Amino acid sequence: MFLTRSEYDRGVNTFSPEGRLFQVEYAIEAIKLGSTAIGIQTAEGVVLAVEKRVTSPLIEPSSIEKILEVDSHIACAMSGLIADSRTLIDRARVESQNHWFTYNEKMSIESVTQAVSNLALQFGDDDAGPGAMSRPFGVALLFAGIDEKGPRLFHMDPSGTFLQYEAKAIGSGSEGAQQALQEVYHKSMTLKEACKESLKILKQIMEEKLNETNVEASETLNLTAMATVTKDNLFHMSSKEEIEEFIKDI
Amino acid sequence: MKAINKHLDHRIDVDGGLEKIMNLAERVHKLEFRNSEDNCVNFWQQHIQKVVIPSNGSSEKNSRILEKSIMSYNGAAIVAMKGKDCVAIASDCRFGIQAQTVATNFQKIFEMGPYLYLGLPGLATDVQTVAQRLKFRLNLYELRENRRIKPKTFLSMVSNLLYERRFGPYFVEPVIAGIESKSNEPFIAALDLIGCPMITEDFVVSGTCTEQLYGMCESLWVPDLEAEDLFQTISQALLNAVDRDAVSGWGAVVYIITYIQKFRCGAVNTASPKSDFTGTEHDNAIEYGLYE
Amino acid sequence: MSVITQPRSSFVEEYYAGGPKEVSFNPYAHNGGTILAIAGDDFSVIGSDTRLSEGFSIHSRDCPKTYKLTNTTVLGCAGFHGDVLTLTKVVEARLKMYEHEHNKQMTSGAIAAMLSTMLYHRRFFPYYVYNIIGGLDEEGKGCVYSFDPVGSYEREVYRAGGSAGSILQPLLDNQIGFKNMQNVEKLPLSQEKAIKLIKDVFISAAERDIYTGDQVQIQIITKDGVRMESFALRRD
Repeated sequence: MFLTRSEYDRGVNTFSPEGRLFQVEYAIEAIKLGSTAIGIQTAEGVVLAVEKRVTSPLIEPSSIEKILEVDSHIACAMSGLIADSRTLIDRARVESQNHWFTYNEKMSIESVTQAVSNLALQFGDDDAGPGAMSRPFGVALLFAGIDEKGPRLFHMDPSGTFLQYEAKAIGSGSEGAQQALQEVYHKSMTLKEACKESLKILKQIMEEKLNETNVEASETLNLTAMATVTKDNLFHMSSKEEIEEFIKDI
Repeated sequence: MKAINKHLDHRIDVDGGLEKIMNLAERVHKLEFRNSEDNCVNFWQQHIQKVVIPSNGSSEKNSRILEKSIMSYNGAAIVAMKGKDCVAIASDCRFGIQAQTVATNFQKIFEMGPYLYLGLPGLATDVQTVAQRLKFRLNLYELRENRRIKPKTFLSMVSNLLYERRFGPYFVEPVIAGIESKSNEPFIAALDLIGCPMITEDFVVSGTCTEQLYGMCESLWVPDLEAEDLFQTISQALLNAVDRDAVSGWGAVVYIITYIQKFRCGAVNTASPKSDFTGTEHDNAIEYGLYE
Repeated sequence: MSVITQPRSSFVEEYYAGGPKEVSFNPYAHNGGTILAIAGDDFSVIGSDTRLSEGFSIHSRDCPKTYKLTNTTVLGCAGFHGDVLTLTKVVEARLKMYEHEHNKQMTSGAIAAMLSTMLYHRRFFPYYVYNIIGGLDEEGKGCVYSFDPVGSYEREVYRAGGSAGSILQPLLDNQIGFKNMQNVEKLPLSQEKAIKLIKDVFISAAERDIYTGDQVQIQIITKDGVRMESFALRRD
């Protein structure tokens, strides 16, 4: 489908005769260029882990933020065009606060994801609301959090489609990572196990690619970010020491 | 207490004797403003006054608002009740200037004879003036007639005094409680600020929290209460009513007037020895300070 | 609601033809009505009278002021009936929208918070409505929320509102809040006593408030749903 360009490539709101929206499909392809992000849902809570792709040793790794707090009970990891995610995260944060303001309760993870997907789907609208763009967003998101239904993990892609997962990987290494997740995931997984497994999978993926860049293998620690959402601690961004503790065991 | 509500067999749960309410002394002293209910009510009333009352000329509209605010400028709550061979009259103790409490020992009930008491809620300056002018006229009456005034006659006297100021009234709405000495008949009555009298067979209320007082009295009062039960009833009625009024409260005084002397002795003996409560004996009535 | 035409001079109004007239429009009316809610351990009761009046006339003797919103929430509204109708309709619409958006029923607490914001959004042209919510919270405990017309709200154990609110409130303080009582056992309120008390205080209110009367309708909210009881009040 990428070999031949056609006139249906251009309009974001024009179906091809086969019934496809190429721009949306291309946007989904853009995710596969992004850094890998992993999410695992357990009974205790949800963990998100991301790889920080450092293309030069002169980059300050701590300035790369790919896991963000949406609300005290919701975290979000991303892959793809990170700049695009700013608008989406902003929307998620505003919707969540609005819900709290109006109803004096925490917004459910599903509802936050739904609200963001509404924005993601507004591309190309002439009279779309603020935040909407002329093209699809080039980013995929993992929403992780705890609500009244317990720990929840949602994945949303640039088409606005969202699905709930027990474990999900996105980004360039997602194929291998998803395979690995399927092998290690089980329903009675503890949060600790989930953290360890997600870091392990990330490490494998990163090491495969390390040769391509001039970054030392020992640096993997600095190039990983991890966050958990639990009932007691809510959103918690893991410190370097906490990640080190897990990596030691791998 | 055996007060049974007159409408249903629902029992008001105040058991035990006088001590309880006397122990209230400390508590009443620490009254606090609790919630916004009063503000809501005021908000309603202000709005009704400003919007709903049709104004045919602004002076009338202003005068209505003015009268309301003068009547509640200092704040007061007074209630009188009939019992079996006894009457009770009670008032709060606050003297304030609008929201600011100035004194908490302000006299609003005046002894007009051994069996006759007058309660005066309203503008504090008029309260004192009316009390003194009535005492003046009462003294003249009793000297001239060489006998005690009957409560009903006293009612006419108050009415007459107030109506003399028909177009520039004293801002008081008096309450009278007494016992007619020949027949031993309890008597209670209330007047509006221009002297229209109203004699009732159950209770009368006046002041800044009449709605609250009516609610309490209407539910608590039953006919033929004995003096002790009457004391409980009127105390509960007043205390709970002033707690929902921002400009009255800060202690209360209750007078139980009985013609039969035996109650007086019993009541004083029952007075809680551990509180600083003092029941002051008048000739034929006992004054209970529900405060300090 | 009323339109008041006001002549320039009040003395010559009958004969003053063709002159300018000031017409003022009052967007509010006071239609009376009293509401009352009490929360118990595992239930709550909310009652209202059924009289609808304006000035000295009675529009209806059968107009309850409680509105069942969900299986665990009943809203009581008194004040200007026009605003009551609109407000309850908007609340019901918002309830359905919430249900569709979030795939669940709104809790009493969420409804209370939403009502507060709805009222505050009309801060400078308020709904002239006094609201009280009776319901069950997420733990199944009875809850009462009371509001002022511009959205100030509070969770309480009992509250009376509307035209006879200030008549009823001190008695509830005394009987449910045990205010000004000493050496009494503070027993938890039973459903039977709560209903008895509601009947009692409404009878008292009907004695003194001309805007309260005809009938009382009581909604009893338990985990099994909402039950309704009613009894007669004086009709004069």
